Amino acid sequence: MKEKVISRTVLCGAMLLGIATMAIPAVAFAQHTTTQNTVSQIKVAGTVKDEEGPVIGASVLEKGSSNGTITDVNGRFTLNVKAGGTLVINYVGCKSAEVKVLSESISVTLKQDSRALNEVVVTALGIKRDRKALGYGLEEVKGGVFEKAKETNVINSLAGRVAGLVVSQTAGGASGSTRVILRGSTEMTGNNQPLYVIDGVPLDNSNFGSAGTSGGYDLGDGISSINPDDIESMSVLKGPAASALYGSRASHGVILITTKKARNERYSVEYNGTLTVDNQLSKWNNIQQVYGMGSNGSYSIDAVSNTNKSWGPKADGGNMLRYFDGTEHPYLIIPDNMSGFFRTGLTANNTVTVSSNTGNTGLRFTLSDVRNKDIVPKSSLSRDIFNLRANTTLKKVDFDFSVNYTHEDVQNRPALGDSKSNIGKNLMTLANTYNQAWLRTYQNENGEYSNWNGMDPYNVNPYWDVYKNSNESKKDLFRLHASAVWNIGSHLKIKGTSGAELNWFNFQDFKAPTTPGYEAGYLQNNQFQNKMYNFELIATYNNRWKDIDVTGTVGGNLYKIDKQTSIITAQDMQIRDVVALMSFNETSLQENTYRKQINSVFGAVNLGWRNLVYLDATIRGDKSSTLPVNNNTYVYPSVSGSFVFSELVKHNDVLPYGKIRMSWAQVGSDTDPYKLGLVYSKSKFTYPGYTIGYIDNEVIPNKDLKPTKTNSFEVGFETKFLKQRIGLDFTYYNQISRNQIMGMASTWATGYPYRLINAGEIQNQGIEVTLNTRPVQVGDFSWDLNFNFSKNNNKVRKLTDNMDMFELEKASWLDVQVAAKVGENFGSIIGPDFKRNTDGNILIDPATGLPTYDKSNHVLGNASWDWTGGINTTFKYKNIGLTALFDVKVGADLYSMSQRAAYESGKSMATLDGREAWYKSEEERQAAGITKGSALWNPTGGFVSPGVIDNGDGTYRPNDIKINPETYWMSVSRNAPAMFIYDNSYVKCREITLSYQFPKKWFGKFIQDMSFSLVARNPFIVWKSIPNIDPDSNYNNTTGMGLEYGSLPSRKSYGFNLYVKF
Amino acid sequence: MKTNIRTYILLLLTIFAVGVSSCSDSYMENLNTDPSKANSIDPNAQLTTAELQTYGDLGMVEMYRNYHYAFAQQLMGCWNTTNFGGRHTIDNNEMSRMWISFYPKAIKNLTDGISRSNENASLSNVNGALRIYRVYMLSLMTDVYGDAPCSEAGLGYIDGKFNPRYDTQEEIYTWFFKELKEASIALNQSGDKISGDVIYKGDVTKWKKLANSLRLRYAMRISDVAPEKAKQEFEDALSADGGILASALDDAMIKYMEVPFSFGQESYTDYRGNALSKLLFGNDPANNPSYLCSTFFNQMKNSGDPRTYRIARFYYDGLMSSTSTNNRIDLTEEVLKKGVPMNPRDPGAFSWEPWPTGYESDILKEIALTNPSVQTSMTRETEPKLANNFLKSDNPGVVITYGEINFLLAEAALKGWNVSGTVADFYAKGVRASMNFLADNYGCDKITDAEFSTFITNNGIGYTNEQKKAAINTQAWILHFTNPAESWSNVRRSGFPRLKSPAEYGFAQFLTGGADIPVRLSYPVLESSYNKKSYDEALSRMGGENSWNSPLWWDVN
Repeated sequence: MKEKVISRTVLCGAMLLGIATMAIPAVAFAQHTTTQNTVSQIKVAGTVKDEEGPVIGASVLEKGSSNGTITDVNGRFTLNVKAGGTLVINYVGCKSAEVKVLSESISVTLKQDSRALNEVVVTALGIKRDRKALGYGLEEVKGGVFEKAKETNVINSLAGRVAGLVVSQTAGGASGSTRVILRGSTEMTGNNQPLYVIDGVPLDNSNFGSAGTSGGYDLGDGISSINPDDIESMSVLKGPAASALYGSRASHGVILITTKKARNERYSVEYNGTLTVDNQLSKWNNIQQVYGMGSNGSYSIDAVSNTNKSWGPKADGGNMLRYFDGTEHPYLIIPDNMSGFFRTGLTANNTVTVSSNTGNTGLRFTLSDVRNKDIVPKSSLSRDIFNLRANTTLKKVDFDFSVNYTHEDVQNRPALGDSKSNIGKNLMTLANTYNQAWLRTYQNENGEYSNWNGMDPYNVNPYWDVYKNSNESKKDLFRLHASAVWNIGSHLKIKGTSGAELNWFNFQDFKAPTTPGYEAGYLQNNQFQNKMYNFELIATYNNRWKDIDVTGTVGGNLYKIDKQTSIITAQDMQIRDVVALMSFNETSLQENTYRKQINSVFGAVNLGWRNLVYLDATIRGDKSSTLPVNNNTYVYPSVSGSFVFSELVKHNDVLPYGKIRMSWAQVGSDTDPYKLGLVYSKSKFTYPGYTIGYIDNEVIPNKDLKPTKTNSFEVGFETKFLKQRIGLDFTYYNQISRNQIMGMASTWATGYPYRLINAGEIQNQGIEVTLNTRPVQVGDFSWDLNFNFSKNNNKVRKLTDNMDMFELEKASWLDVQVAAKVGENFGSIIGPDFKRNTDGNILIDPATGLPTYDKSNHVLGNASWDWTGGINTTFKYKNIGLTALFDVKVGADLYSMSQRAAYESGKSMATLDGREAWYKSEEERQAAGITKGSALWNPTGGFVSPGVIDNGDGTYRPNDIKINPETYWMSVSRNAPAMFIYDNSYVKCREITLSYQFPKKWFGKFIQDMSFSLVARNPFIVWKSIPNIDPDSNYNNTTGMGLEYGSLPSRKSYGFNLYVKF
Repeated sequence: MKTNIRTYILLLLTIFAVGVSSCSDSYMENLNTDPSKANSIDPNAQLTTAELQTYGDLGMVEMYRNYHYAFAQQLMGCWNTTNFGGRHTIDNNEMSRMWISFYPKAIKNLTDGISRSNENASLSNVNGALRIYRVYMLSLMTDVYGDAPCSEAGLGYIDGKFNPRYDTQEEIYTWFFKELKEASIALNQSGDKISGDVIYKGDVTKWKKLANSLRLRYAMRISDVAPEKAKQEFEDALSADGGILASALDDAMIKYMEVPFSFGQESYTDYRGNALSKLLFGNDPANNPSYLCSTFFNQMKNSGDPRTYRIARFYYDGLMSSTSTNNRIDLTEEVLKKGVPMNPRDPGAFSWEPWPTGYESDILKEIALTNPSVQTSMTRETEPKLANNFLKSDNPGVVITYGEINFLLAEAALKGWNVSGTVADFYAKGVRASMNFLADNYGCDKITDAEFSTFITNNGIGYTNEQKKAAINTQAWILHFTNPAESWSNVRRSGFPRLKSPAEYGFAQFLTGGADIPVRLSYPVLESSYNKKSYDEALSRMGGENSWNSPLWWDVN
């Protein structure tokens, strides 16, 4: 029944859309017959002033033409115009003025632009409101900033732009997903991602697959299918008060995306193209250049073992070594070895927009084509987005439809994390005398894996992985949206919105036989079929009685999601020349579903008094299918208010705008489906005659689950002064989630690694400051400098009884976890540490000369940022503009397993310490004929582990035992993660754009507008403290904090952008 | 006009409200039911899962290779065995493998299956089998970790036991005896068919034998710490209804199948093959095969044990396939003929350290004529490796065998418990059964009666009780080679064979986890956070430290 209603609605929407599309050209032609009169020209001379005197460089334009000029130093201008025409005068910071040409001499006094004071922003439910009426923080980013220096995933462009918004990407490259966190993590076990709402319809941003603890691929996200050229603006609703009307899914904030409608012009065609060249941003260049491949100061006997160790003798080129394929190469350091593997990437992003608008009907069509050739060989992406939007008004009803179709094809996503196929991991430890290019002979004459390192499955030849193994994903995504607004009278309107998203995604992963770890060959085909529907009906009533302005909104929403996944796994490849399921001896099938529905009703009241005081209240009730039926309805309110105190001081130029605001809100939340009871399944593997059956749940189900509630409180202060050249926005917030639904870790002895409970308390408390300034404005030159700053304190205050921490993510083979620990910031890095005496000195074991370790859990660092910020600056001179964006992140720790590997493999600079002396000592020992490890020998040199030895009587002596530095570093890299925890702070340049707007007088009538820009994304890292890798590196894209391993180099891109409008 | 509007709105909202709220409870509940999963399953399917997981869980058996085989000094030289167990390297992740594998799979499902078949007459036999098997699985756990959750284990959902108590090992063993006895009695030949059993194909009489035989094993295990109880249980089990394993036909062996060789992610959830055998083949076989430890190899070699070159072989692996032992070149005959010095690895030694002396191989010189890529000078090839027979995915998984029963009876006789037979007889029968065991289950060449009698003549049980105990348990140690859990437990329990620390072989400077051979494995560190109260309680009984040098309750030798 329900499905029927849904399908019918979608069908109706689509039909209406079709009708609208057909109707438009007819209308367009009908209106094409207006004629033009010829009118005589007159020469006008005039002056332009503002309240303080003449204005230099104001633009004067004849309305409806490209005829124009600018004012001189005295504010004067002359221009030939049609008699009876209109002049449009524009000047930065002032309201634009229109003057009818009635005489040859004109004087214009511009008024200060108070547009900023009456800035209209898009708020929850797509309602446009005056900024000063808002009782909560909201930041709006205009679509224009995304259009020139483009990212393949538009959301990456937000990095550094919004206070309190942290963007992180995996090293997965162009096709990867992006993680956005607003005001810290509010849920301990959820994904903490904000809700994206596009023109009133929530987007399904789920990842199809993430690279988890054991590696894997980042299969991208939903938001990447938004074309930057379609974005009118993005509103970032950070706190619950802003997003309370969106309910459960908005508990981590909302990013509202308003897309463009047809331009207010009869007909226009635009082209926007960006072409960039992509290269490695971070490089493995901080490594020792003295010793080469080997162990214990000697060569590998066969050049097949120790290939990933640089603990050999000095690389003096004196010797030739014979490698696995029979070739011989001199034993010399290969500088910048890893870079040789990567190629120069290329990204082309072309968009054509056709827009037409006739009277009440607008139509806009965009076609965007993105092609990316990654820096990783064989890895590429192509994405085409078709977007059609039509809006029309029939009498009192406004209709708005859009259809979006995205097709994406990604070849060979790079494997991440612990994955045996992670090429970053496998390249970074390669001995520094082992040229990676020698691995190009990755297969033998039978097409089988060449044994280059003793078949070590943890160091697979990266060329084999790239050229022999493969993966491919294809996505077909339809997003439909239809809305109708019925304007019943001047005070009342009703809006209905329906949206649907249908997504078919297919991922195929192939491992050729003889791949170490997949010796028999492997093919996996993942098919995802996701459907999401959203219906909403809202009635809004607005009226004004004397000084009081009242808006009331009531509405309802129905949201349904239905995902189906089937995974076919094939093993044991028998037919080797075709990669198809039938080539394999054993195939198995696994099916999963995810279905849920939330029904909601909500209401809001907005009161305003004399533009001075505003008060909002909202309430929403949700009924979620994922909760127990007796507990599945939850209601939560919000209240917010603002006081525009600048209204009290009329015409005060010193403080034209000042406001304080305050809000309190509660947001309720549900959980994932099927969490209430046990279910059983069977193994996908067949054991003839038997059933391998078991409980499917990994999480203890909970029949008594209650909805999560998050409370938040926020106060803020906004002001603009110095003729609005300085704008300041300050926010303090305090958000507490208690008894949230979480998959809390549980002792394995219960039978389940997790249990679903209402527990815990997590607090996010912080400040956000946005400062917009224009330090210089002289004539045609202006300089804008904007800062944002955010400090968030993300404390874990309580878990559950008798529990002080639980693991969020782990590097299991190193015994390190990222955890929620009571009393600490969310994301503690926890693991073993050295044993120390009371003075804090490391205790050295006199038997081994090595440090001793305490294998219980210690807090070693914290992965939350102390503060984050951004600097955005723009210089403008006439038609030339230069903008730069910097992203600043400070204070988080990162356990770098890559750096750890650099020490273990003898590549790090610090591993040089004591080598020469130890190797000399060993020669002396051998010369003396004393066996290794014999107590008769005292080494004459070597590495002395920092620390002390217990004398047994309460005193300690400094360690003086000389050992092999290799032994020391192997030991600490295995046992002392604290050594490899780095301050992950950085300052990155995210974007530089230099653009030139061609003067209109250069073109004929055919071209209306044209600009050319030189663009760069992530061109350089200003400062970082971690060597070799990009500080943005991640272990995976799930929790994505605190751990890093085998990160591929990040990419920088340089190129140009051309925009032409016809 | 105004009323009109109001009517419209009201109407619209009413329609919407009805639409929204019309979703009844049953609709919502139905939506929250996973259509791709079942609400119930035959408990027999859970028995299959538990049995297969025993040796089929690739993640779990890694622990055996890393610690058990090294501590029992049966394997040594492979990177994993030497690095972790051979050099006493404490690794929390490696030590936790059994705990984090068995509780959330086998024990959870056994407990669930038991709970759903309790008091169901039509499932009473499978209920009995599940109970017996749960005891066996829990015994593996307690013999590794000591005190551990048992009575409250796996009850997270059924009973809401979120913080299960660590029962003391004494309580656990007491419960084992009771549980085995009751379960055995409840088994009834005319009852339901145990259709999920991949050990005995559901033969109820054999399950009774298994329950009684396990009681013998557990009684012997506690014989030094609780001799009275041990004797009583042992004798009781001997006379219990159904009897004990009476021949090799009664051996409790989990039947595994041939599965494609792989160490990819998939293979960690595929329990159908003997993962231990696959692992001993090596996940990087050309560089990481299983080498025998000198303690084990020399014991066999020096005693003239006919099993020596059935278990240990000398191979050249340069041409070996990466998915099977195909093209492995067997040098054993050449090594023996030429009298090449053999270099089994001492406890603590890697296969490459110290680098062994070698020889020039005629076999490989012959091959080199047509294949110049092979090497002809053999070095590490003189280190004995585990024979191909033990590296097959369809090798059985050993629970308990007739051979072991004889050794248990021999020791019981030695203790003067009431068993009908002599120590020497049981000993000889045990050795003979152990030798047959290799041919019966691993395809080794049959050991002839002549070979056996030569061996038994030269290796008598001895004269003193100490010698007899040593002989019995050394033979049990050889028998248990393919049952690493029992092998290490019995070495710790009996104190035989006497093993020397790697420190005594010159590896003291590498023993970061202490010079003494560890006698248990530490609990997962996260237990200190996830089940704090119970964990602290258990630790307080061990002197406050989660140390691997604290002996288990039954380990008093």
